[in-house]
Amino acid sequence: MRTYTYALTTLAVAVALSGCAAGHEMDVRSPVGACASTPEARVAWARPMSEGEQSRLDDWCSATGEPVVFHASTSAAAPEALEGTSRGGGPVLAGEPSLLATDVAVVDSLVVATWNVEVGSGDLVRFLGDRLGFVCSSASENHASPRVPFVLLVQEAHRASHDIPEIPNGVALPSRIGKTAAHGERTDIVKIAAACNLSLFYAPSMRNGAESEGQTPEDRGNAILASVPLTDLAAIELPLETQRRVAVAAVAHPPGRAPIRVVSFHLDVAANLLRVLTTGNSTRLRQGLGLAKALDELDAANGQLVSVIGGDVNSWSEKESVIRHLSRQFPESPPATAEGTRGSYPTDHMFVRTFEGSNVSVADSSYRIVPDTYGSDHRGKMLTLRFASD
Amino acid sequence: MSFFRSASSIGAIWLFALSCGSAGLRGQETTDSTEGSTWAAVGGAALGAYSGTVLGAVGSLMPCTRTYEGPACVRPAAIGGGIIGGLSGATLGAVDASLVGNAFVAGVIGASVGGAALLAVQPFLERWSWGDVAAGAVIGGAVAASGPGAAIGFGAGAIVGVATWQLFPGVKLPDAVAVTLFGLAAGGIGGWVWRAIDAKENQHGSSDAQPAVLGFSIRTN
Repeated sequence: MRTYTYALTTLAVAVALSGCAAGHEMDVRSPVGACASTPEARVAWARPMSEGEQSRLDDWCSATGEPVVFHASTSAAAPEALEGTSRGGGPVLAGEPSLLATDVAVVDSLVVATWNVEVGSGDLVRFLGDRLGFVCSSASENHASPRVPFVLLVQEAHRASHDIPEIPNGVALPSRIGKTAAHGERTDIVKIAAACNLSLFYAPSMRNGAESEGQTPEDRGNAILASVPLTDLAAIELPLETQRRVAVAAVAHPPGRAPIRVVSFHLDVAANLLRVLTTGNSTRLRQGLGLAKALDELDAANGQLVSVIGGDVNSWSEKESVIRHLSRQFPESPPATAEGTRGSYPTDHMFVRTFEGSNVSVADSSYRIVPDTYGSDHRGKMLTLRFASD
Repeated sequence: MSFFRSASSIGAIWLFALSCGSAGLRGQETTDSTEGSTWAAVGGAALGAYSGTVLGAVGSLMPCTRTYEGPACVRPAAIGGGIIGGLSGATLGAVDASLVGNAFVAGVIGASVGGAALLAVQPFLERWSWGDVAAGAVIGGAVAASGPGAAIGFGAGAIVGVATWQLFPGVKLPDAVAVTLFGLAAGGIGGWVWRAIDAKENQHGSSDAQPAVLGFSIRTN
């Protein structure tokens, strides 16, 4: 009797200590590590403070390629990939005025959309044309300007490239996602940005599984695709729960208007059983709070900006803790909707934060779900930011 | 969808653990000893606290995910479950050591089944560790140690959850799972309380209680 009493008492104490959520402190000042150590800084990095997490994030990162940045040119010619887009720490970049030139003096609004494209299965070209009024066709070199400038926050974007490094020994890989796309070849985010002359910031979160013989290596992650210039690029490694997740942040420059911070993010689906039990199922809340913390720090460094963040929260209810917290931290967010964007589950959401004197608001009734998946397993969401006259 | 696959697998594990645990309990019911002891009370308190804590956490995980507090709401549920389970287990051990022994055996069987089941579903999980097997064992043990109450709660929760899921369009599958797990937890913690009360009543019944005598008379004309 005594033996099992001792054992059970120990177990009871251990279990009683569980349910303690891990922290979400973020380091945006001087991050170091395999993915954030290149001195040629063109992308600022933020990552969790915990050294243990950083080490595991580095393992994940070692199987991915470099982030990619394109700046849309004003001509119809295909833009070049800018050099020096490698991982790097250091200060957040200032805008580059030469890239802000545009043929429209002042705009009244900016459309921001978010969409999980299921690793290229979503037909981006058709989405851009139907939903954002941007005609981009391989048959035409002259891309029509959109009716309204736009920013598209993309999740599960992918890039296929032989520049992606060999898989290091002992690194855990996620499964490859790569179903046959209904519209033909899966849409590579880098190729489409080049073909459509759009600004792009893409930072891979993870390798897209191990490739079979003859397959090109792929990685996948979040991206921002825009018809306006993007500056002040930041890659935010979210607190590590199950998979490495890198949110991408940029400052978009609608012509003649104050810049807007835009962020594309994707949270984990679920942690493993042990982590669920020992943290009280805090997976997505911890990642969301880490993201908000990093954005606060960026605001502190850059000055306050109107922010629109959007992504795949992987929520099964619009009332989830992470949505409640983000809605509070981004108080101008439209109410989270229960309508499903991935089947019947309301997984995708957008959050907005303005400030007094910003003269920016979410246009009435503009927050809506795109009524078609365009080949992805998610429907997109979009809203319109309205700029008030000064 | 791997989450739902895991959730349904875990549900199946618990059901199996419960049935095994209950079988173990029934098998031990022929034990003759009905004496309590201090050590049995302490052991019962520890077993009840462990079982109640885990059940409280498991039952509140999904409902708490829908609150602003999130994980902070799981903690009081786990602590509350632990306190109720601990007090009930202590009562059980103080009255009848064999009942605690039975619960312990059931818990060991449940833990074995829970751990083994997590090993079995390994091929379906993208990320897996021995820690998950341990978690499966901890949950299986806690559920099985709580006795038939958990099975009753699980069944009732599943019926209510699935019915509401089918009847109301706003209710989704995870809501049904949440109700089921809540039922399991409530049933399990309630089972500890019920067993403690039952043991206490039986103790009084065997020593002090006298059969009630109903007095009546029959009149004849």
